[in-house]
This record gives sequence, structure tokens and C-alpha cells, in this order.
Amino acid sequence: MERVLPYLGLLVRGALITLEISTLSLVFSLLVGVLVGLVATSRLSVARAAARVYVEFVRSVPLLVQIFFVYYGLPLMFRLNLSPYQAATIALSLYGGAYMVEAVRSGIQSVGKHQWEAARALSLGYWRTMAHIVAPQAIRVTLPAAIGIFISLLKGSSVASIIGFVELLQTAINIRNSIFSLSPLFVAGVLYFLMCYGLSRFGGRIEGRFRYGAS
Amino acid sequence: MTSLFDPGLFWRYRGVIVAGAATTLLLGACSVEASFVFGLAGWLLKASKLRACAWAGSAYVEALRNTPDLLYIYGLYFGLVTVGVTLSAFTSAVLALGIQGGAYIAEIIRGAFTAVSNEQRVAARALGLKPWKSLAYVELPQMLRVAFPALGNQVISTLLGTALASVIAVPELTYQSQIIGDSTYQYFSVFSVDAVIYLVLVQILTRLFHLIDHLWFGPWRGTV
Repeated sequence: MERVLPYLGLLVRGALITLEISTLSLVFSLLVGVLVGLVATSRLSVARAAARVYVEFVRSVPLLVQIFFVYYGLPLMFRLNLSPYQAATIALSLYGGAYMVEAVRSGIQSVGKHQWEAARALSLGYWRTMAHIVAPQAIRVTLPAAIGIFISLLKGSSVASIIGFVELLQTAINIRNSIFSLSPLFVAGVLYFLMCYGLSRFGGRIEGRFRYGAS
Repeated sequence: MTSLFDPGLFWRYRGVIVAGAATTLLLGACSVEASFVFGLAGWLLKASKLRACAWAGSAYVEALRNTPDLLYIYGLYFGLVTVGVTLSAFTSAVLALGIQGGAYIAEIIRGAFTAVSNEQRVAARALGLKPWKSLAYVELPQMLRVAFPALGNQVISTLLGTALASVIAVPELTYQSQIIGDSTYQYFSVFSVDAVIYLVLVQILTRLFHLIDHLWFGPWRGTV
């Protein structure tokens, strides 16, 4: 165990990289989720179906395959060069985005139809109703789910190690390979736990705070 | 290398791809079974009246739910060798996925247990059923109904998790695809085929679970 001590700094750095790529992917996931989520709740049936296909695809294919697809497939398709970091960010954003679509959709649908009708009666248009009436209430449902997605992104980013992106898990494996001890993996596990458990406690508190009264 | 999509690829490598898919299914089935065993054990620990057991159960569930499964795949595969136990890649993948899935299943069972109202337990005791019999004949059937959709989702995520076993060279679908990709450079084609196979497997399972849920439990929906 003491042999891992000199490497603690490296492992913490790895944790920061994991945190960085997960946060970046979360931001993109939010963008994807809000855009596609609006489409998924719209009246255009073709667009709704397309959103459905995207969500189902991402949820039925392993994250690893999605990462491979982006890392090896996209460069062949568009003649571009992707670093492991870029490929992992794209794949994780699309992955988180699909779950975010569901979170946004269930948030929007948690707001009753009568509120739309009431807004319509006050001559508010779609965007103003969405922004001032529906979104503030939808956030109650969407935000706790988004924290859950952030946790899956933190855990999922470990899969990016397979295409050679050096984040927390890969750092631990590299250290293991040079000191032949399992302790770096253990320390990595503790760091993952601290990040994810902290977030999930935070999520639980937010959920509790939002639960007052019925919407 | 020249064409983006090579439709003949699947046919040329059909043997390897089908064998890979079969291994994926086998690995998935074993891991699901293992995860049910771990899940049941985890729940029993967590629900125990002994403080130490309950604490150990909670620690298991929380620790496993908040760490990535890849960590356990590497950890078991590399780690058990260090202490003198040599497991095949397949077995360590089953154990890793089983332990990880078990933590989620323990939580699902706990939720179902809370959903079955306490009156049922009291009534079973009043009829002279011992706690174990009451659990087996009164509570578990109702818990299964409540938990079924969540368990179905968990089975699917375990199946998707088996792709990670490719890192320790279990010859499942993703591993085979990678090998084919490495030797032909047709990464786009091979991962498309790979993705479609997973997609079809998962969609079949989803439909099947919906059907079972509907046929078995449909008449009793909302009665717990």
C-alpha cells in the first residue's frame, strides 16, 4: 500500500481529468437533451420519431461500442482526425444526451396540459409558455435526473480509457503496471466513490428540497 | 479501406460474429444470474436486524453503485492473480458484472419490499405462516410483480455491460469486432454490424419483458 503513496498526486490529477471530461460532456448532454427534448415533445411526428430512434439507439448499444464507433468510425466517415479526448467527449455527450432527452421530456410532461391551456388563454405563445411557465416547473423533475446522468458520465468516462484516454482509471492501471500492486486501483475506486457518492447525496438533497407541495 | 461500408463483411466473418454474439449472450446470462445471487444476498444483509450486517449491506450497495464496473473487471482479473487465485477471463467478468449488478438488484428488491404493504406480512403471520414462508409465498410473488420492470432494465444493462469484458480478452461480440476491425480496417462496417446486433438483442429482450409483464402481471396491475 505504501508503494502507491508517491503516485497519489498523479491519481488525483487523473480524478480531475475524469471530472473535467464528465463536466464537459454533461454540458453538451444538456444542450443535446434540451434541443432533442423539445423536439421529442413537439407536435411534429416525424421529428418525434427521429428523437425516439436516437434515444433507443443509444440506450440499446453498449457505451464501449459507441466510443469505438466515434473513435474509429467517424474519422473514416468525415475524413477528420479525432484525439481520444475529443472522441470520448463526443461519445459521452451523445450518450448522456439520450438520457437527458428522457429527463427533459418527463420534466415537460410532468407539467399538466391545463397549464398550457391557461397560458394560451392569456395569449402566451409556445416559447414564452415554455420559458416562463413550463420550464421552471419541469426543472424539479429534470434536475435530479440530470445529477444521476452526471454520475453515469463520471463512471462511463472510465470506458474512454480503452481508446487510450488517460483519465483516472487508466492512470491507476499505468501505475499498477509499474509497481505491480493493486493499490492504485483501490485508490482510484475510493476517488470515484468520493465523487459519485458526494454527487448522489447532493442530488438527494435537491430532490428533497423540490418535493414541497404538489406542482 | 477504400469503401466506407462493406456489406460483404458480415458474411465473410459470419462465423466469428455469431460465435461472438453467442458468447455475449452466455456471458450476459451468467452475469445476470450472478447478479441476482449477489443482489439477494446484499438485500438480506442490508435488511438484517444486526447492525454490523446492515452496515455491510449498505456499504456493499453504495460502494458498488458509485464506482465504474470496468474497475472491477480489471481489479478481479489482475487482483486475484496477485493473491494466488487464477480465474479465467470469462469467470472474472461474470463475477465483476455480477457483483456490480447485484448492488442495483439489492436496491430494486428493497424498493419492492417496501412497496408490499405491511398488512400483508401481519396477515400472513396471523394465518400462522413463519416469516420465511410468508416471504416465499406471500411477499415474494407480490414483490416480483412490483420489481419486474426494473429487473428487466437491470438485465438489459448487464447485457450491455458485457461489452466491457472485451478489455480482458473474453471473446465476446465487441472483442471479435475489434479483432476484425484491426485486421481489415473496416472499423465503420464492423462496429455498425456490432451495434445493430446489440440493438436487436436489446429490443427483443425489451419486447419480451413487456409481454411477460403484460401477460403475467397485467390483470393485477395496481393491486399491491
